[in-house]
Amino acid sequence: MTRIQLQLEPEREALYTEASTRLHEVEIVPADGDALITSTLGSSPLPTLLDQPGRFDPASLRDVPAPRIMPAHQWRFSPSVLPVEESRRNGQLGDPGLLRIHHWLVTPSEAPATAFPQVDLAHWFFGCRPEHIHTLRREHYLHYHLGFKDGGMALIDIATHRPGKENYYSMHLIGSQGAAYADDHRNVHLQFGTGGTRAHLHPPNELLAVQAMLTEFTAGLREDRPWSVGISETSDALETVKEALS
Amino acid sequence: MPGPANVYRALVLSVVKHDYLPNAVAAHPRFRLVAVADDPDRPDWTHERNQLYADQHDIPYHRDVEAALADCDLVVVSPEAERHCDLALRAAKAGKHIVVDKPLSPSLADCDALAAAVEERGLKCLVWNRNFLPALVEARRAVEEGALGTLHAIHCDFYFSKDAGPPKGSRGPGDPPINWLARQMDAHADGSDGGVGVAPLGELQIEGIYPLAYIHMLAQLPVARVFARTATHFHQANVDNGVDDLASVTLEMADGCTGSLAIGRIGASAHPDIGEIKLHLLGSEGSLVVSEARPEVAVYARSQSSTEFKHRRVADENNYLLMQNFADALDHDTDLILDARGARDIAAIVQASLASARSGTPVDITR
Repeated sequence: MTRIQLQLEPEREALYTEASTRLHEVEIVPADGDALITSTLGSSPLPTLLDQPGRFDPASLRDVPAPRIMPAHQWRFSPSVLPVEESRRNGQLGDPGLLRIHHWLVTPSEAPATAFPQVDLAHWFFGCRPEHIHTLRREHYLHYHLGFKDGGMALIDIATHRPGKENYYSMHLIGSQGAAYADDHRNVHLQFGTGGTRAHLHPPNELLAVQAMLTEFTAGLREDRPWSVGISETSDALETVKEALS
Repeated sequence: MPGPANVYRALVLSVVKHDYLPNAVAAHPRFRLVAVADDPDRPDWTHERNQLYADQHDIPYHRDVEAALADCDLVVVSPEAERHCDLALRAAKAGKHIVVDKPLSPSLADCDALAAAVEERGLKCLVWNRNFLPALVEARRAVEEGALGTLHAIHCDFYFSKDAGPPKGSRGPGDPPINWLARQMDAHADGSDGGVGVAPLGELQIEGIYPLAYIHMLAQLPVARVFARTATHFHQANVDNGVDDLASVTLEMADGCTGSLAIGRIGASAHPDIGEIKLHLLGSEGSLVVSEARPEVAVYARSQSSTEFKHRRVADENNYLLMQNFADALDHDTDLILDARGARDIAAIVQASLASARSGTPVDITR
């Protein structure tokens, strides 16, 4: 049994708690845990899942004890991202060539904060930081154009404060041997009514992503191995976001 | 002026590429092909293709462009890409209206000369495009009806999932580089010879006009500056000839509108059909996601080959509506969906994008 303490805002705590109920041998405890999930950098000696790492300044991460911290790069564990990365890792796609992401949110979050996980995906797929960064920015909108070594490229389009009730996510990765497409547009269901046609797509993406991430966190603890994502990757993505906006 | 029954008489000026363009002209009831013509000093393969097309349509083939120009209302220009503007310009100087294949030209100076000649003489010059595909018609309607409010961003993906000869890395030690023209001539059989010509062309130059024409039509905003990355990622012919087969372009447009383009000839295994072609539009009041391939009908059968497209486009009236647009323009002096000036501006975007990719920096658009 892995006993985990939570030091989170109520909404995130509820999410992790629900995800933990779906896992074997994981228990949320109020104290005396084996591990910690928190959104703040503290001095706890416990192995820690650092939630929402995109909120930190990269300079603040320089001195953290990296071996015992897994940054919660939640988007890497999203249902629509996992198969893309699996195909890339298995070599099905060949060399990554072009990554395209659209992420439109109705929430009033700031576009730069929303950019972190998408920039991290680009780093992850191409295996490095970009050599060229071109950014266009307006209120509630960000467009990144990144150039990686060996001709790799990424276009990331992020909009917040969108009208309506539905977020939208679209991502594809074009490789030299194949391509992967993860697109809300392809997966919509249609609802007809007096108000016209509405598209609905509400799988529990966030919960499933947190569940997959928690699985990796606890598996790393049990198997006494490094996690699949480390704090240096958080720093890299934060640096790119910062550099693009400077 | 139109001939009997209000039919315009069209002279085909070279038809060495796949023949969608003259066929589209011939299919419209307001137009009739009267002859094929080309210059006498063209290579044998050119004359052979011109003669074959003339025979198939039971019309004469003349090896004298200027003489043939005397007996037509308009020309249909479909030679190698580097000859588009030359033949179109000669037709314009003879006072003939023009339907010209894409891309307009790899040379911006040639595009400028054609646009000026057409405008000076009050002629109509339709540059071939896909702006009347059903999905584009719907997108245009949504934008024009104000459903999106003020347009803030427009993004287009334009991938052809086709192979273009041997894959990158397939050239063996001692093998000669692939000759561009020879490869394009081989591609004639399957209709993927859009880059036919002596001068090698990358995918951005060959096909970029299609998605950029979408953006041109929907945004109707001038592009001020571009940033682009290009790569040769898939095909040995592109490697051997130093031209891209994958590219991404960011467009800085008037009124703070952001645009972008992702384009590539990404290999036959990268998509079950011809390729993913999509538009994403963001406005102040709403958003729009459009699949250019739809509407389509899916057909799956045991007898299908692995390369057969399983989803077939339906209700595609692009060819008819383009020619109707052209007929309307001739009849009533109305605007074309994409004229020589618009195509010239797109060529300037393509050229600036290639310069940006080489320099790694943003490049201003030449006016």
